[in-house]
Amino acid sequence: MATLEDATRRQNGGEPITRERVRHLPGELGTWVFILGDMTVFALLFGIFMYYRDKQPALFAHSQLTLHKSFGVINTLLLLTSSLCVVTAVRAVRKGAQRLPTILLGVAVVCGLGFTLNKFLEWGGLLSHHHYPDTNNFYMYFFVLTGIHFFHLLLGMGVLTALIVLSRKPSLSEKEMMFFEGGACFWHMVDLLWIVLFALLYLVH
Amino acid sequence: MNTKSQMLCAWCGPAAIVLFMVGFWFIAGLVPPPSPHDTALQVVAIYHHHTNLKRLGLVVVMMAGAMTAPFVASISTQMKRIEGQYSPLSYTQLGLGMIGVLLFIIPAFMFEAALFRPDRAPSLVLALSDLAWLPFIGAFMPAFFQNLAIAASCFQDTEERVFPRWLGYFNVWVAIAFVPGILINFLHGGPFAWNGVFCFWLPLSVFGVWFFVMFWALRRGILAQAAEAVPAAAL
Repeated sequence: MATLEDATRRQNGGEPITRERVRHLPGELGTWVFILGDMTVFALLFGIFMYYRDKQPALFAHSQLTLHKSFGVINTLLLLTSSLCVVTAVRAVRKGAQRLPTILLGVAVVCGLGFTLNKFLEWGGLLSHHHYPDTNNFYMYFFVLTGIHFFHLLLGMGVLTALIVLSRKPSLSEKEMMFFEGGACFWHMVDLLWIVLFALLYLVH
Repeated sequence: MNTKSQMLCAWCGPAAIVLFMVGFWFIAGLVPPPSPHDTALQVVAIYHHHTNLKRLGLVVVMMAGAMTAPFVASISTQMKRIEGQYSPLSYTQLGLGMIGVLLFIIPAFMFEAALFRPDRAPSLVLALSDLAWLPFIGAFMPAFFQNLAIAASCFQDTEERVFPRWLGYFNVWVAIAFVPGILINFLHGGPFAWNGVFCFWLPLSVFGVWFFVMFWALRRGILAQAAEAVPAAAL
């Protein structure tokens, strides 16, 4: 029976493909220790939210209606756009492009700033309607989850700024390239976590 | 070369964390922690239960806290190999780690004060209990900057001569995992209270794992240092 391995071996002129040659881990190993560790913590947070939501479904559903979905939608679009810019910037850097990566990363930072502005408007709006973190469990989770995510977004903007500095260099060493990829992966994580948060906080009924 | 004394100090880390768990969990019986919702009378009842065992368990906790000092010192010793003679990160780690010793001992004495006269006015016992639990769980700030100092020195070690680079990322992650501890000052119930999943169980697990991971890295660093020293001595 022909296995997949045989097939790839045939394609490769009989030579077995070693794992090292096929796999490219973006960034360095440590980045993934951090990203997977962080995502585990967030998974725990999401689990906790679902658990408590299950205990007070009416309260959570009622409070959820006071959120403006448009804030969430705009922030999702902003982060998706920024992620697209970042991934395109990584490709451009790999190809040795000069100005394009800096511009793309700049756009990503502007998206992050837009997210920040939007977040403050949203939090301010909730607070002005007397929806405080200690009003009920829903708002407590809303503020804590979005707050922890926002803290990551700020870290991410710091990382993107470092990447902008790197992208202005004429060429990157292997180590710098690894940092570049790792930083980009961190930003994608911030985006990914927001998408889950958006669904969980604004959409799930 | 002082491989033996370095190794001895490094071993104090896992020994301290095991001793801490034994004292706090099994002898004092303070895990899981009582709820911040408990009334003064409920809290008094806790301290009336196995009072002497609790007193003993907390003495063990203080011993364990002091035992983290040689461990912290051995981390700084290895960090100094990365930094060289002028080593601010190594000193930062050392200073903050030594403050960490007090973060075992001071709250443990607050517990001891509550246990010393559990018959005093319940509101006073409650106040002492709060004074013990809040810093015991919530005073993560020295550990936060200590972890970042270790991370920074790992990132300086570009050739991974002493510590692997992922250890730096791991320490950043540990530092960030402690941050939700801020919330225990605000909330009396749920996952972000001092007995909650996020502010007790997660940091406790991360803290425990950190000791073993750091011990592994230290041992590796010390052995590498010994191996580097051998050819030099043979000359």
